[in-house]
Amino acid sequence: MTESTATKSACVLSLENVRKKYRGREALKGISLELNAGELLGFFGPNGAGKTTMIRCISGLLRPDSGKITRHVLVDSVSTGPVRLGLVPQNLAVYPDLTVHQNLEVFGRLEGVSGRPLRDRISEVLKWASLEDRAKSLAKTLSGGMQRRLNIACSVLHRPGILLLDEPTVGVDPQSRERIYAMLEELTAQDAAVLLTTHQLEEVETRCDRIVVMDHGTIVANGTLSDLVQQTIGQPHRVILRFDHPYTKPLASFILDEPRTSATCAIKSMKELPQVLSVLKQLDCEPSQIDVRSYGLQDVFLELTGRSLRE
Amino acid sequence: MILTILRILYLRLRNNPLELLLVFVMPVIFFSIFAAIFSNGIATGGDKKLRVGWISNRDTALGFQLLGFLEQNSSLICTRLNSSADETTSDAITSDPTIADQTTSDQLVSDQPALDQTNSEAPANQTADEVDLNDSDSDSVLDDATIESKISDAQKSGRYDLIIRLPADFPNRLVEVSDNEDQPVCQVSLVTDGQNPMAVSMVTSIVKGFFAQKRAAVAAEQLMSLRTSSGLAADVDVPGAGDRPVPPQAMVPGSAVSGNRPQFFDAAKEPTDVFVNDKNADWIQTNPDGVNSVNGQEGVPSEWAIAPDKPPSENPTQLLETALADKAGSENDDAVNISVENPQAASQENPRIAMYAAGIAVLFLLFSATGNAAALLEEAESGTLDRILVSKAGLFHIVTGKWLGILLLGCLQITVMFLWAEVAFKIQLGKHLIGFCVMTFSTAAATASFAMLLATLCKTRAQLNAVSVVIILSMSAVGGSMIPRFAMSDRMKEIGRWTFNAWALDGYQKVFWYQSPLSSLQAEVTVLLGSSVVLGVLTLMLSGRWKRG
Repeated sequence: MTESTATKSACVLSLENVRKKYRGREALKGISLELNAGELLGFFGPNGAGKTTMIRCISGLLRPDSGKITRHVLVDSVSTGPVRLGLVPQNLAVYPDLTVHQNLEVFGRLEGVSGRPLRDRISEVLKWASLEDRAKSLAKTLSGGMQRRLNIACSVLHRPGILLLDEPTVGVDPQSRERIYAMLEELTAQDAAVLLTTHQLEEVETRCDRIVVMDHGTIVANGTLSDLVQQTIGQPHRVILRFDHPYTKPLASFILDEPRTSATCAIKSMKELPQVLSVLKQLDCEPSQIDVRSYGLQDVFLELTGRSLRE
Repeated sequence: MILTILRILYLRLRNNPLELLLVFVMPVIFFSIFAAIFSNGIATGGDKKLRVGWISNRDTALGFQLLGFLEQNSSLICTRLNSSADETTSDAITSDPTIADQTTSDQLVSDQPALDQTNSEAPANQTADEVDLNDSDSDSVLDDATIESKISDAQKSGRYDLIIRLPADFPNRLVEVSDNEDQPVCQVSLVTDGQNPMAVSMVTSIVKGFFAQKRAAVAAEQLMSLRTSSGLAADVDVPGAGDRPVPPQAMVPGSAVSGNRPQFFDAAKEPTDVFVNDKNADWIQTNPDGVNSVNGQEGVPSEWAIAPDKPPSENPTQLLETALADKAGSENDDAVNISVENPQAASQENPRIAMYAAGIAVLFLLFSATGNAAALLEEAESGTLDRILVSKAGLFHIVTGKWLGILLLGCLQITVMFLWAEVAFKIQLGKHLIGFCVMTFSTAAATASFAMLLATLCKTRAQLNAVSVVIILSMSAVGGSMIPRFAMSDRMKEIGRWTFNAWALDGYQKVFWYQSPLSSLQAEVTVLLGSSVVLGVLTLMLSGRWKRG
């Protein structure tokens, strides 16, 4: 891991052709990636794709066999060093027999925060994580959602510029998940870069600024959801017509299937839908059913990684 | 349903090798360890010998005979303490069978010249002056201060279960003072540190056995003399006849007594083989059918027989004969006065409790240390360790911090144990505070490193629990936390030297029991702290695996 002054202020972390063999197999096969300040990057991939190995490499727990991982020094930062890192492990990496406040205190100290700044920061973080009322409760007595929030809170006491989260919302209810993403958005609003791995497609689709799909140790797609759909599937929406009897007439841009009981047409935007319906009317076509489907990350993911089981 | 529940139990057991190990293999391991200890390692075992030190103000013939008698006893290892050069065990002394023979049974049955021969072949490290046993003013005379000093040093060395001390007035021959029957003829002191209570009773019994023989020999010789003077000379030999001059009338050339020492009742056995350590035996009996026996050995000449109860005879010769025979069978209480001394008793108060406290403390110290070290595995499993490693704390900080925590906790744990022992059982912690602190720190440091290394080598908490239980209980059994080390055989003691428990207990023993100076703890402290450093460095070297995940 190296450090450098950011050539562009937005980039806080860059990976260049990172390779790593782990437990006898090549877990990372030349990963290149950039993470920008204030960005929420969703890392997505099947089990065994290499996500955790990559996070361990970024966090310094594993040393890459080759390649370069750079944490940049922000030009406008008051700190002279590279942006600091926070890690939120997948498991509840807190001490269950310490109180919420005690957990925050010890992890703050481990990050070099102490004294009054620590006390102030603990107060802020307790409020941020909505745990003020439970500050004196033992961590093991908290609900699953609270424990997850505490797990994240323990990693932000030193105001990290980069926060790595490994599946931070596993096993929590929708309300807690909402709260967790709200917390992450607050961090990104303060220019922290957040990289999270998850299997929750909906979360990545709706919450992340950018999505990286990883498979077999390589990045197979990188961009916004629409970019990914465009790159993998093409048009993001489809109009599907269904007929009770085989339709025998020509149907403009629609592609009829073999029994001719259904026809599909791809459109770039939902704005094109009225135009499509108008064409159907002109052709005097009266399908029994019209479906409009938008392609999502699930389609992109399956398109990129296939449908075969990985484990 | 019940069968399904049973099947679940069976399948889980079958699929979990570690649990299988705990259920089936561990009991066998422990059984083997304890079986080995109890069958061979405890005092009842074959190779357990009491280590007895021997010291006397001056060397005398009777003293040497007693020494030879003790050396012949298979349950003792005797070491002379009269001078540092004399500290040679009986194994070395008796390694030459010729010498061994002559220092024991032969001495007891031989005449005076034979005794001189014994002196000439006494232990090689004795000087000629020292072995001039006929001379009651032997050159080998130690003053009381020197004796006390030597005893003190020997006790503090922890090498002896007991020390036998003969006073300056210990006689050359038993007969010398036998005229005064109201007073014991010989004074023997057994100096103990109180650690091995079995040693006192065992050695007392053996010493009494020796004097029983000597007493019997004197009585028999008197009887023979009486018979000889009455014209009833028998073709018999007398055990221990060397203690007094053989009556001139018995020294007739060609007679059995002056000639080839014929056996008096059984050619296959020496008399001492019959009498040794058999203080409770009625050693001459006449059965109702008139057959005489000695300790079950029949065919004893009738001259040796104790006549069945008869009405008192008016014949003075018969009266004397009966009296002498009665004396021979009356044990030895009037021949020797055995006193037991514990020089440290005045300054000790419940030192044994201190040893128990140390034993239990070290056992639980090992358990608590591994328990605390297991937190490292717990943190690794939960991901907390990853979080810490990503922080400003490195592996060195983590390992050192954990080690220090276990060390401090261990010190506190032992201190609490000893404080309670002081309050409840009156051990003298305050008096030995520095020694206690040194030993406690060393012990806690060694156990902390040991526990950290175990945690580093194990992959899961379950693995650590299984491994640590086996290792700790084994170490505690062999090392003296469960069974006192003084009760173990030498071999088992040596095996125990590979455990922390043994070194720690030896150290605490020196502090609380022997009240040795700090310098005497050098070996224990070196081993414990050295182990701590070596195991600690190993832990640091192997701890890289925490990062690799």
